[in-house]
Amino acid sequence: MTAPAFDEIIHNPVRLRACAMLAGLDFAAFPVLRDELGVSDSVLSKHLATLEAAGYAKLTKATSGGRLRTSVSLTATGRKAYAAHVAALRSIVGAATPGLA
Amino acid sequence: METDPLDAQAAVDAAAAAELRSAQIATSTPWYAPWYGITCAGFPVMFALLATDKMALETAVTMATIASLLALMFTYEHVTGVWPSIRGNRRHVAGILAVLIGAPTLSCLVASAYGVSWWLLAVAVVTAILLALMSRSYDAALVRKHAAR
Repeated sequence: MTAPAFDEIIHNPVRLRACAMLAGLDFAAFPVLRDELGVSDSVLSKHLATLEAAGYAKLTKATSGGRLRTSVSLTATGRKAYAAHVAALRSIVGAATPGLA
Repeated sequence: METDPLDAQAAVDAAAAAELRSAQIATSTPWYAPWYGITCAGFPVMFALLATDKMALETAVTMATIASLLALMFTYEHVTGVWPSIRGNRRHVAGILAVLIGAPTLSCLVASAYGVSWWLLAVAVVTAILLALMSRSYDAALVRKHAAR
């Protein structure tokens, strides 16, 4: 059971969805995240930089077939923070709707 | 920070939808399970051949199995752009590992005692079918888990 902990960094809608997508994965390719989140390269880069600076995400760059490929993963700290943040959101919802907590 | 319960609910829904979408992408390859099953059928064959000193054939089967596994992993990652995590799915993974270890062990023991014959084909076919079904079941469980949230 994860203890609820609201996280301002993760709460941003783009970062929350990025963390949610990465939570069940070892990694995702940058273009997959970009397309699924419906944001531009630069917007996603900015949000991933914020997650990376917080120690929540890790970006790995590798050359494959002469092309630079970037993959993104959540760190162990990022996974814990995401789980705690979702638990905090659920407790807020539950507090407002007794019986759902 | 004060968060409105409606905002919190919207955030929970958005996160759940993104988790489900991620699971759907990771399981969007119907060809993965049969390819994986057929490839892994090479393991019991490899070990049976190893136990009976059929080295040339064993080397060929080993090379083919490894090449097929690498091609499967490369193709999967290239097509989906993701790599699923086994966290939270340990029971399924343990079942797959049991077959991956059990079938080669069994074929090695039987081959040592009786040599290689028709039974090896049966073990390979059963291994392929079991692992393909387990892979499919793993995918279905993953999507179900996220869809239920």
